[in-house]
Formats: sequence, C-alpha cells, structure tokens
Amino acid sequence: MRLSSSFRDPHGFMFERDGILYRHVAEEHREHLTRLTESGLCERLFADGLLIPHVEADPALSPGAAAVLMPERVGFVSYPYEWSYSQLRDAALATLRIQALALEHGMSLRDATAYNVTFHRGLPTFLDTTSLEILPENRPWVAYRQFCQHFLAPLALMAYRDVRLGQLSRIHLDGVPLDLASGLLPARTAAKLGIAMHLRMHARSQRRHEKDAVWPDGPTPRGFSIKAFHGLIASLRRAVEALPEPAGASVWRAYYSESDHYTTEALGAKQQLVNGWIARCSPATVWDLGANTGRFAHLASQRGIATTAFDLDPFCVEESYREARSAGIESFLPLVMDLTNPSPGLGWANVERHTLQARGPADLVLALALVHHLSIGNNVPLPMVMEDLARLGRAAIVEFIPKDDPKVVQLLHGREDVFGGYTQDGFERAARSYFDLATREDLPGSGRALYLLERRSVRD
Amino acid sequence: MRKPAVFIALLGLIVIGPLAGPAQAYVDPGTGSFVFQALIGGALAAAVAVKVFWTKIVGVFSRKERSSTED
Repeated sequence: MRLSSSFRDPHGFMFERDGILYRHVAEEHREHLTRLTESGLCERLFADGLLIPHVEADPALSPGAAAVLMPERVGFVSYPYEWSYSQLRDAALATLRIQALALEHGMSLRDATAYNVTFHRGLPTFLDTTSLEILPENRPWVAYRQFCQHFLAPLALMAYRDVRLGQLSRIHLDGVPLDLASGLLPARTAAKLGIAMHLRMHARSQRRHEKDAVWPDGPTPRGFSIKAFHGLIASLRRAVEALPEPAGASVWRAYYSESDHYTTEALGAKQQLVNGWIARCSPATVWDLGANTGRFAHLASQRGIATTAFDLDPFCVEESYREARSAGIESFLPLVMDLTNPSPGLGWANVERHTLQARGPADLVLALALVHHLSIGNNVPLPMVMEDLARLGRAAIVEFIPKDDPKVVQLLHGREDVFGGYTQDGFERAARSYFDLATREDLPGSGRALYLLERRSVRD
Repeated sequence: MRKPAVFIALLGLIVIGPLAGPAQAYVDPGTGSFVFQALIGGALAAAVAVKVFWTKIVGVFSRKERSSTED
C-alpha cells in the first residue's frame, strides 16, 4: 500500500508490504540512481550518517519499478514544527552538507523541504533518496526557494524574533513565505548579509516575478556556473551558522532543581520505581509525555529503548536535544508537543503529516507530574485524560498528585475550585475504565502515588 | 577576507543581469527565486574565486614562513 504522504514526486514513492517499507524508484529515475551509486555519493552519505541507509530489494515487488529499495525503518517520524531551534538548524545544515557533497559528485537535490529530513538514531537524516538527481548544467538550484522557506526563514524568525514562531511551519507546510518572514523580522536584520540577501531581496524578487513564466522567452541564458552553485550553498551555510541563539526564558527548565515539591527521598523512590517498572514492561518504544528535560525518559533511553520525550517548552526540548547529541545518545528524541493541542493531521486530505496518535501507540507512556496540569491546569476531566493515555500507550506509568500538594495548590491559586472529581478515588475510577491497575506505590514524604497501568484491550 | 568577498558580492548584484534557465523541476522553483539566483550567481562565484585565491596566497606565505622557521 502506497503511503499517504508519498505522491508528489513522479520519480518514486514509498509503499508498505507485510509491515516492511519500500521505495519504488520509477524508470525516469534509473540513471539518477545509477549515478548516485556509481559516483560514490551514496556510500559517502551513508558513511556520514546523512542519508537513510537502504538495500536493494526485488524490483518485482512493485510493478513498473526500475528498482525497489528497502530503507532502514525510522522509529518515530517527527516533523519540523515539533523540533527545537537546534534540531531545525542541524536539519538545515545536514541538507546543505548533502547538497555540497552532491555537487562534488556531479549531483544535486531536486527539493529541499524540511520533511525530507527526520531524526534517526539521534541525528538529522535525509529520507528521500530519489531527491538526488544528476546535476543539470547551468541551472540555478531548483530547491533554493524551498530551502529558504523551510529552513532559513523559520530559523531567522526563531533566532531574531521569538522561538515560538517555529510553529509557523505547522500552518505553512511548504515553508514560511518569504514576504511574511521579511515583514516579521526586526529592522536590524537588514544589516545581516545572509538574511538581507536570501530572505529580504529574495522575497522582493519573488514578488516582482510573481506572474512571470519560469522560462522567459528571449535570448539563450548565460547559465549558472558550478562556482556560483558552490558559492550559493556556502553563502546559505554561513547565513544559518551566523544566526544567534534564540533569546527567552523557560519556566520549566528549573522544575527539578527547585525541588520544593519533592523530598530527595521521594525523588529517589520515584526514579527507582519508574526504572523497575520500565524493566518489567520491557517495551520497544517509550513516550514520555511532559518530559521536561528528559530526566525520567533517560531511564528508558539508557536501556537502548527507542524513547521519544515530548514537552511543550521549546527551551526544555532544546536543552535535552543538545545534551543527548553531545553525549551521542541514539535512542532519545526530544520533541516540542502541547498535549492539550497535539500535532494534527495536516496537508492533503489531512493525511500527509500524521497526528501524534497515528504515530503510536507506544508500548509504554510515562505521565509523571502531568495529570494535574491537564485536569486542573487545563480543565480536562480525569476520564478524558485516562482515555487519551490509553490511546497513546499500551501501558502507562502515571503519577497522581493530590490537591493539597504545593504544585496543585499553586495551580488552584486565585481560581475557583471546580474540580470536585479530582481525588485519588476519582483518578482510580477513571483509570479502571481503560486500564487494569497493575501496581500502585505511594511516594514517601509526599502525598503522591505512582501507578503502573496496563491497557484493557491489550490483555483481553 | 570577508570584506572583499562582501564588496564583490554587492558589486555583482548591481552589474550582473538576470540569467534564468529552463526549469524541469517537479516542484515549483519559483520564477523570482530562479531569477534572483541568476542575479547573485556571478557575485557568489566571484566570492568563491576570491576565497580560493586568498587561500592560495595565505598558503604560499605560510609555507615560506614555515620553511624560514625550519631554516
């Protein structure tokens, strides 16, 4: 079955058969694939971890295919609007590195959308093997507009204006329009050569030639030299590298360091229990919901379990991404996600980019110090919270925090208490509607309790 | 090195005209994006040439320096 996100490129598409993902390479792309292999570029990109590794499969698997490739499976396909600033920046630099290497091998990228990249084994990895074509002579980069819209524009907005503008990618699936980005950027960025050239002047040129044909009638063009091409890629790389770190403060980053709500004993007990229950469940995938900087998620990732850590704070995600990348942790992927408004189905027929739920369920979800934020902070009734957890995971480790806990008192401060159902009994009743309560442990020195829940439908 | 490269880039922007080429792309490259690259292409190529030239000059001097130190 063809994947719902794979339909634009006539040179190939992805399909699934018997649970295995394949890439159909069309006849039109045969010579490009041959060049990719014979030029040594494919091997080089594999060695540098820039391109998803593949092996050749039987072409008979897909009628009319010049070749069928079997790429390595990506555990969790994430999208640009779920990445922190550094994740988007690293994906941009990986795309430019691939393009620079491609040029050295007489090839080029036919497109440069951020959706061609995802995080695999902790690193930005290019997925779309059929994007690489034989370098057309004397032609400017066809993917220049896409690169600027998908990478440079959102990065510049995050760096110079507000890191939350990364969410513009969720509205503009073909990248942030350059006139929009130019209008939102502070005036001082006009003095930055890379921004002035690739965003502002580029946007003006787009506006000026909005109604012109791509191939205007007239004399034979003088072309676009390979030196100009190298210069363009180097200039884009410098523009990305010159961006400053986004400014701003996180209210969540200090969550564990404050420690006014946990005694050392309670925190230690919590860590030990979560660790033991992860071992008991032996999951292949773990999603930590509201992961902060990933302290508990790493209890899973350090066992080599494919762990995705979601948090709504881009600064927390930024910090955990940088730490994991510098430590070389392959099994950990932090992502920006607001659980009260998770990633929806987007694009054509709402199925090109998948919902969070459609990318699950995980074998185990962690919901530690989360339920009170959803139930009291966001007025989501406990049964609805438990229903959602049962949709996202086959099993769950959930922490219940009572109303007299300082963190809940803080949430209720200045508000009418309309949460009569928010009790430990109410929590257990809601949990039993969707889960079996496998184990319950009270955390010492606090009124908090930890539950291991197993989804009903799994056992029935 | 940065200053001459920037100067040449800006000069190129002024003097080099549009050089659009045929686009047989399956995604829309955008006419304005194509024309703009053609416009800045000469300047970018000049910047690469200056960088290569400069690297060679620096290379010659550093070699001389090294050999005189070794002497």
